[in-house]
Amino acid sequence: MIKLLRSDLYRLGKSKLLYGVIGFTGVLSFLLMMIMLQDIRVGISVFGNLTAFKEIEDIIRLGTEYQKGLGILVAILISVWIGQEYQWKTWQHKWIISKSRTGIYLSKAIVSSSISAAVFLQFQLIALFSSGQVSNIITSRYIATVISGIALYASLGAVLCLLSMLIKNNTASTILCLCYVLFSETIWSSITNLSGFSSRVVKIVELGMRHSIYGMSAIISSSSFSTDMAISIVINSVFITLIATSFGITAFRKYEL
Amino acid sequence: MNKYAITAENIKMQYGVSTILKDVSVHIGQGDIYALVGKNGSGKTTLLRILTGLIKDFNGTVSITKASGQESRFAAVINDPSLFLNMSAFENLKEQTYLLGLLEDSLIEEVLKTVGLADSNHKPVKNFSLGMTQRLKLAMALLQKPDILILDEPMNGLDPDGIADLRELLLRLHENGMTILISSHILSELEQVATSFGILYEGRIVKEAAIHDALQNGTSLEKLYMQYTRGGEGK
Repeated sequence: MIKLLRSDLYRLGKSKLLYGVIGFTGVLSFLLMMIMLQDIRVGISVFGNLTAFKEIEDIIRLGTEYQKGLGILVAILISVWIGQEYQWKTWQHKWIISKSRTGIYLSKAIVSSSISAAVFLQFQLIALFSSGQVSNIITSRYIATVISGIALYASLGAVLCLLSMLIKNNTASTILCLCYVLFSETIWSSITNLSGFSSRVVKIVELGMRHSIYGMSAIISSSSFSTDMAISIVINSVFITLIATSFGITAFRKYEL
Repeated sequence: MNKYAITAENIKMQYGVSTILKDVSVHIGQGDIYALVGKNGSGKTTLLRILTGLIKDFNGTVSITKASGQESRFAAVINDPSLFLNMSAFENLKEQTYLLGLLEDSLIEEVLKTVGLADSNHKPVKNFSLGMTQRLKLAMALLQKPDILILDEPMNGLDPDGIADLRELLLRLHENGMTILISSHILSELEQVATSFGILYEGRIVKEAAIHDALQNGTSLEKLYMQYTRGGEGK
């Protein structure tokens, strides 16, 4: 397992895409903060929903809304990194030297969750330090937001890993991962609308949405988010990560490589 | 003491409705260079993938052991890219060393030198010729210091110098006691290196013998192959 992790980390370290994502995240975080500090009003619009940055907290909140930027970068990075193994059939080496399928999958899931959480953390730290108001920003609410965000992005990484591992085609898995990130809000809205025929179904759908990655993201980025919600978000994220990884391992073990 | 390094008995394999391997049995002696010959689509690669464990869904038994009875360490070069094309030769081998738990770079330099890629070790693999790719795959296999080496058409894309180098390398590895299973269409080359052979035809091994026993009276592997696949005993 350690050998697989070292090999995966080595390959990730050789990926130009990784440095592109790190660079873009850093520049995005820094520029948004600088523009906001200069009192220039900008916003990001994804499918009509405009996010206007009026205060530092708006930029910090943007990091937790994965569908508006960071999630897209993470989806591309993870799907391409895993998809290359299918594209170039490099599973063979691992399989021939008798690395277990469970180990192969676990290594990918750990790296995907870690890199996803790391991209979020990088965004938050650069925003924090470039704001010039470190002591004002670091409150218990901010710390709870960052911890919840890390857990959220780790579970997002595990789900993106699942999608990339189960789709045996590099391009198809990238498209699917991007769709998952970009359309999660639309999909949940559609499901909510369709469930309107029964109040019981509406409650179940709402419960599902609240506990989904999208739902948690909406909770963390809302103004009603409070520090005591962080624990339930972390537990929920761990649960999603475990479910996605268990399902992925079961399916991947049956794959013909 | 085990006489055979690889034994496969009654291998049957189907892809959908078509039967690729009907009833294949191969016996590869310890320290042999075994040539697996057969026309395109005869199931050579499928058989090699079964022997390496890449295909699990088949009927029959496969046993890969050392003379002492312990499980052998084997490496394979199968005909897919199986290389990270965005990385250099050195980086591909380095990634492999992490997988194998080997930490010395000197081993990488050694195998690159062995396969004649020492000068191109930092060039991206996507810029490699087919022959260079074959050499790199061979280097990746040798990195594992295997007891058994399985090669699927390793001469594809090699120029005459490359083929001669590969021949020398195989003979050198054979002298060191390595068992080698090699599939190829270049029968004249196989004849020069192999110690035994098997002809795969219509899903069965129709002839399996030691080279020096079979190629007496001035016959060649090519003639023998034609005899077994186009008429005579093979039919």
